[in-house]
Amino acid sequence: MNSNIIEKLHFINISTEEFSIFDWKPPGIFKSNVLDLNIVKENMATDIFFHIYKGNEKIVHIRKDNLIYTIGTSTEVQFQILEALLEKVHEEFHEIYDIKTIFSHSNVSTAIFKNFANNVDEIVSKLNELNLIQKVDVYCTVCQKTLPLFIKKSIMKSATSFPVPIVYNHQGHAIVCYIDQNFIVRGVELVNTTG
Amino acid sequence: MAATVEKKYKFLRSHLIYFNISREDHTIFEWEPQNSNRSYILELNYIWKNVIEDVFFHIERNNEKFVYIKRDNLIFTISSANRIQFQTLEAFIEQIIDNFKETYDIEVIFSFDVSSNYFKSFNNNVEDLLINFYTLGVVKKVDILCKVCGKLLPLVIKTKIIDESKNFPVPIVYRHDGHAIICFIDKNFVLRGVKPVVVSG
Repeated sequence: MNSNIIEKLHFINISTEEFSIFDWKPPGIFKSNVLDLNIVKENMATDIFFHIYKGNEKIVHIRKDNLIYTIGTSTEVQFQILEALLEKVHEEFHEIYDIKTIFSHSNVSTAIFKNFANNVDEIVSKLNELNLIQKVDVYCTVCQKTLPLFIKKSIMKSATSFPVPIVYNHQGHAIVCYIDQNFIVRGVELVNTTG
Repeated sequence: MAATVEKKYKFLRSHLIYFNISREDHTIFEWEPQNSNRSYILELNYIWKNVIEDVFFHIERNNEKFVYIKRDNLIFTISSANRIQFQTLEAFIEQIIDNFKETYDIEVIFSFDVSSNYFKSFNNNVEDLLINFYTLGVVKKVDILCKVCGKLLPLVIKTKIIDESKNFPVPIVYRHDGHAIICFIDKNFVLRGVKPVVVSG
């Protein structure tokens, strides 16, 4: 699934409203993402994942507990994997740092978060072992192929009714997959989309 | 023309970027607004390689979107600015297909070696269709409340989707501003439910 995800990741960023407090990039990548991060900051909704397509890159971001978490990858990586990764990053970041206390002091240097890069490296390299994602096979009647659909497991914990509809957007069309709480596909249909 | 229809027409007209009808890998008809001389050969090359009969495909690319479909060995492609909803573009293509087939007997024409100049006058049909599009009743607008945006949004639906559906309510996924909602529409175009939906891809 994601054995080589590190090769596809472009960046992971944690920001406050004003500035970046943590920035992670794979070795050899130095591109600045400041323009993307400025766009992300304009979105004020909290606790909801947002997706952005941008040429050969996709970006996922979420605002949680007054911090903005953003991840960018190449387009092959499914959004659900990125959401799961960001959830894990958020969870660990909050475990390690008492953000409220840290930011209650003035003149906090972002250098104190520098070591978090080791945690991100570990999350990325051990993503398969963390058991955050479930793969299910879905048959697309348009492509006439069985396709792998990655679903983050936390969806089922927060779902209020089952089966959960998941829209799988691929190759210019979309299917809606109905997944029960045991990650069994209960139905797949081509769905009309607009936007 | 009623004022609202004229307003909608002007909006659609000003946001349409390109229209193309192709046969396998060559263009037989092209429409562009006046003073537009851009080439879309790269997009068309991609489309020609990735098309399946009778399914609408969508591409979003920077500030523009493309919709294309293959029908009866012809590939119909439309492009517009992002503000026009995909359902409007699909409905417009369907009108073009009907009109093109009514105007030209494709099978007979292509049994001869014809030049694409043959279809040049179809430009007038496209212009007429644009003017009359919102009087044809092929799209309907339904207002929906998106809980994520906290706003009432206009959802455009092709009437054909509802008219030809066997099961109700019909789910329609509305992707906007980086998230998506699934809207359930009944056969009277009444919204029966709406909720944020998980998206992958």
